[in-house]
Amino acid sequence: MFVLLLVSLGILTAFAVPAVLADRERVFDDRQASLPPPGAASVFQHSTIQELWQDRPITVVYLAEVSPFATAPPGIERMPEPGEYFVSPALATLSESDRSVAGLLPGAPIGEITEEGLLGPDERIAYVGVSSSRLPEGAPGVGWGSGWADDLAQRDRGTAPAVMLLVLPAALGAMWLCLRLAARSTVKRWSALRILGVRRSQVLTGAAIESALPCLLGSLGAALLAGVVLSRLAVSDLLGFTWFHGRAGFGWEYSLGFCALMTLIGACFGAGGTRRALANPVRGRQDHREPSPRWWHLLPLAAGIGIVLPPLLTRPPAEAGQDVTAGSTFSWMLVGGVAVCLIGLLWAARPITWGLARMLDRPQVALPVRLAARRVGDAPGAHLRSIAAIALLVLVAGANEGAEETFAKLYSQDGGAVVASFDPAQIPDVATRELLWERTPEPKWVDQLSGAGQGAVLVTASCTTLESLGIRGQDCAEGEYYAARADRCHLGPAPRLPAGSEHAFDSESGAPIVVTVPDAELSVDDPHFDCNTVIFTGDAPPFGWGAWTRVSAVLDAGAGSALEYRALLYELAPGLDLATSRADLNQDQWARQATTALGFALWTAFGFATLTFTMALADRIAFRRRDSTALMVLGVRPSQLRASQVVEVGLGIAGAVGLMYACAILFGSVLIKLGDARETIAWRLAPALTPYVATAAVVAIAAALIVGPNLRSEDMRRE
Amino acid sequence: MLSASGLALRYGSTVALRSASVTVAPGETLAITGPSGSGKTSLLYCLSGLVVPDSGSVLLDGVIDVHRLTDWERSDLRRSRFGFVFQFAELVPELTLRENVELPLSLNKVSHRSRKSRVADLVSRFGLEDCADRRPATVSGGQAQRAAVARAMAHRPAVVFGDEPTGALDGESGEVVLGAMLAHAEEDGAAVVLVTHSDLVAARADRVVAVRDGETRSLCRCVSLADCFLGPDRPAGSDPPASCSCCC
Repeated sequence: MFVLLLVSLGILTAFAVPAVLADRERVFDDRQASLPPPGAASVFQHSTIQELWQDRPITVVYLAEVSPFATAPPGIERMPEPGEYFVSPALATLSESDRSVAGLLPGAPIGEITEEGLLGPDERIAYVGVSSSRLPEGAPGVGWGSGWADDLAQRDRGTAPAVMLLVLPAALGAMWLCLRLAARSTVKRWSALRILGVRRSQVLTGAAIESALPCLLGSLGAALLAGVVLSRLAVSDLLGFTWFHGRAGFGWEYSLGFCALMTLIGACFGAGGTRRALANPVRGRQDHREPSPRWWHLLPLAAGIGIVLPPLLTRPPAEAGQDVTAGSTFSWMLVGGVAVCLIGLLWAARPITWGLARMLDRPQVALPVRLAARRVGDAPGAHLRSIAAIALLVLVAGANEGAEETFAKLYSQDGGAVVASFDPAQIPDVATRELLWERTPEPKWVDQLSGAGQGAVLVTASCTTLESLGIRGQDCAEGEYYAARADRCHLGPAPRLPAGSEHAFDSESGAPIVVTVPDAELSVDDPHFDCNTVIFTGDAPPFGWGAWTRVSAVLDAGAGSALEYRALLYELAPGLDLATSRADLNQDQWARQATTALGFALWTAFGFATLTFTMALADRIAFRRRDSTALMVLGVRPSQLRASQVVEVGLGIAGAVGLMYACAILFGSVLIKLGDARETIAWRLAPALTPYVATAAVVAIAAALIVGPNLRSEDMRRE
Repeated sequence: MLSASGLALRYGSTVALRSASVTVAPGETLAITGPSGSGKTSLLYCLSGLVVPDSGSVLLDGVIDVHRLTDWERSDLRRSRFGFVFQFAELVPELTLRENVELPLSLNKVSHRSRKSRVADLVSRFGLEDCADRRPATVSGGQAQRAAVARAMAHRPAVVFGDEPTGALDGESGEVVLGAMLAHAEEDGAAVVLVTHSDLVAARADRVVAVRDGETRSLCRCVSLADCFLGPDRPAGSDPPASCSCCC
């Protein structure tokens, strides 16, 4: 019943996630500014900036030109006047302790944003009233609640099914095993009762009630506990976000329906488990014998690997880029091969484990090992069932690693860094411009487009900066020009600048200065730069701050330096338009939340898998107890028996989990390949999977040791 | 060879042995009889070191207190000096009959050559040639029990313990198994301790100990054990007449 309680709790938690995300989506949507209809006047101007502070976003909504008719966004009582702001409790606390955060909030706080306007208790958001001069590029708005879901909400929708896909099979697997073991333990009893003349209907009813009762009690207990667990989970950030539990819980009707469903499932399992007793009571009293595996069970897996490997190992030519065309033969071979492999895995695990067992079943091998091998060889399917949950989780973990890496590539092109850039021409004061350049942290560079649309870029950066960006080549000397040689470019493939070609750039005074592309080259792999680039190694642009010039810097996203930099810019040059490559922090937040939620779901599922495994193993060893006792009577030591058990479990781990480990790398590689065609087998996934495999092995061995037998007189009882 | 005194054992609130004492001499066959639940199997488990009694001692060769040994040492004792035969053969299901017979020799690290020749001899003597390479689940109860006896005898133990060794067999098969067991024990000079309900089996023993309510009573050869146990007017399984015990 305890297992059923845990399973019910897991299912209820997994089912709560969609409700929570739907609530977040609603709030998110309610506070999006709505655009005025064509031709209509706006009632306020707004601009939103987002920054990261310790990997969590801070959102500041600047509001200007607020009409008296403007309605306030949810969570605040009125629109702030210039110099006033409403702030969420979490941001208020943070701004008191961090000067750079306070720099984002000009003015005085006039109130806190209430629960209705927040996604969760730890959300950092503020509505700041500013003058129109401080908001030169604000967007017009007429109200709040856009009526269309934002990207974040749309993407969040993918998280809930993913969490449920991970947790539910593992939880249901544990429930299935629990009920199956219970049914198996009673089949002999029902067979005996059938032999004595108990009617079929009485057996079915009795078995159904016997199995349904613990399900009912377990699910009722879970329904009562779910409120406590979910309220803790809501503020724990374990899913990558927090929420207001009271706003997104589920009602008693839902809990009652869930209990009824669990009871029904239990009753069906119980009744179904009596089929051997009903079909043939005499056979029902005997142990079931497993048919031997066949060599051709390996063929589907071999075929699947055969389909996946050729496209996986193929590298496209460099100029073809990194995209895998959706729906192409190439992508279909990868996806179809994985599907065939999955079917093949189900077939292949038994003969592979059986083969491993046969290899160890040799007279020269120590007796405990030989006995274990013989047991596994006799019933590989039964052994595999006990570790199936863990093996499956290793496979899912591998695919998850591949998916995460692809997410990371898609949404964090700069490896977690923020590239901030601004146009210095917006700062008329030369001294301030120089000061900003000086205070911009390394690595920083200036790029300038050539005049008259010649399509060349002049990048000015010191050799130290270039080295820190991973640019290699001949010896880098300061004050020199180099042609950039690039394999990967910021805006896709572009023609290299031929040596000797001439390009004109505007000087600070507006006069064109001609630069000749030199023979000397520097290899540029950094995605911030374009291919058609001439590099000047220096600390300042060679012709001053001319037209088409831009300052860029790579800032560390996690340590708050982007925030500090923005605060510095606002202090020195209010109204400066600072662009960041990660301006869409929603995207990063989605990736972070999805990754954290999936990680949490994965470990929860791993917990269920471990529970399932432990139950299966304990049952198996209890089932084998009589055999173990027979060996102990002959003088086989408990340590030898435990060694035998460990080998028995170890063979399953080596066979099934090893197979899943290899396939997990293959499947993870396929996912990475689908995101980047230049990748091949991603062996780098192997270390990432090691914790899962190691955990599986440790749990297996620990379980095998813990449930080791002791010689007890009741085990030697005669039938 | 083996002497036990003052053995007491409880399973929860149930008293299995109260104050049981028994001795077995080298080469002697001792039968332990008594009604169901009297404690005879518990006595056998205590004598063989399988179960540790609450009080009392079991001495082997007059010096080794079996229950003062560690679990490790008791395992070694069972594998080297004791042999066991149970009512249901209790063979290792994963091993063939031949491998089961070989098992004690493997555990005692007997050389490969000696092992093979001893197993071949036992297989032949117990009539197991036809089924030696089959698993226990695929042979008859009599064949399995013969293999169990062969396994118990394989390493030439000092004491062979039998817990209803013929209880699950028909009369003819039981006679074959018991005959082979006793003959082999005699040949090797091994003592045999048999727990049995069968008067026929008890009649084959040199001495009989009756267990009642956890206490032992020796029954001796005042006339003849066969007379005591196989008298024409005695219902099978009942206690022997008082005249059998009065002569001790």
